[in-house]
Amino acid sequence: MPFKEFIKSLNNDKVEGELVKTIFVSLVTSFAILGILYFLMLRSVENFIPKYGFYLFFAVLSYSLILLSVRHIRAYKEFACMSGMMIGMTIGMISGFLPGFYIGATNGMFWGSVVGMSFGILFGAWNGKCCGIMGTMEGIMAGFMGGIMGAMTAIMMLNDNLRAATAVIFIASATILFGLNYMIYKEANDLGMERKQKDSEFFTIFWSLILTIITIWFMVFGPRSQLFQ
Amino acid sequence: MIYKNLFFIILTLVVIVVAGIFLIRGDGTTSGGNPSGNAQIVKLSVEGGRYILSPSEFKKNVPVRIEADMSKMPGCSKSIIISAFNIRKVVSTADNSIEFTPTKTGTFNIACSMNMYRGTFTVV
Repeated sequence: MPFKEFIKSLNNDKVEGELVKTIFVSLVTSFAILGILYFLMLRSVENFIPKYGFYLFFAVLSYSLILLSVRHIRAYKEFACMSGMMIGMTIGMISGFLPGFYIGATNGMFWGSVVGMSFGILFGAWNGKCCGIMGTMEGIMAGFMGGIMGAMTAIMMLNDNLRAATAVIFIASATILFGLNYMIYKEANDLGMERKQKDSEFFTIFWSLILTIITIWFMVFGPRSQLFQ
Repeated sequence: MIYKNLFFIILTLVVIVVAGIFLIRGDGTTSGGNPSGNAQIVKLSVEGGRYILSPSEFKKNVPVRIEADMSKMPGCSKSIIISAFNIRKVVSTADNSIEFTPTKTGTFNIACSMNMYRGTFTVV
């Protein structure tokens, strides 16, 4: 059973064996910078934890899963056309939708869309290029759509169990990313692909810091729509 | 070999639980409350796509009770947000009031959750 083999591979000495550690490093980095910023400046922000804590918690979890998939993709670097398009679409959509949703819930639809689209297009194009221009295009389109959709969904749910929806959407996105990692493993395994790139933990730390700091800044100090003023 | 990553799995779960306990507290919003006998009564309706509050000037630190005229509250205008005072509430015929105490002065926005219907009020 390939799926059982995939689960077993999470303990091997290849890239799959590094995925759990990647989640851990990303979470520790993001929560550490969040903790440092909290004690240095954010605790003076009125209602910081009740207002932003919940969304920041899920944002940090989401970034750890996105970076895990990015690292998995980068390890093999090149994929067949259909797989690459699926990679670009999935990464673009999820990395656009989730930040768009979290920032849309605290800053409004415009800024949620802008941040969601920026993250989605960046990650979608970057990871989609593993199969050439088609994957890149797919990633750009998915990031564009995901960013707007995430912010819009958050605004539409403001008075309708937004927090429960956040948890449900995170679980659905985590399941999709898990499926993507399984697909990458299966594709690499079936085609006998070799690892082409080995990223250090610095890669995970760098991107975790960037994504977390941008998200915190936007949520707390960033511009917001009239609805949140 | 099978448990090579067990250490990281346990640590990851610990980090998530600890951060979750710290970050997931309260929801930062209220749906009103503290009804008071001497509350300022305000009528709310929608005209021409705008919220109309009557009167639109409130006194600081005196409880406000906004009563929505449900016959003039179309569509998403029932889903009301006053961000400055952390108010989020869907009004209905069964519960058409929003109660809060304005604790700061200035001009503040009231909007529907889709930001389509908007209005302002002043606290002095």
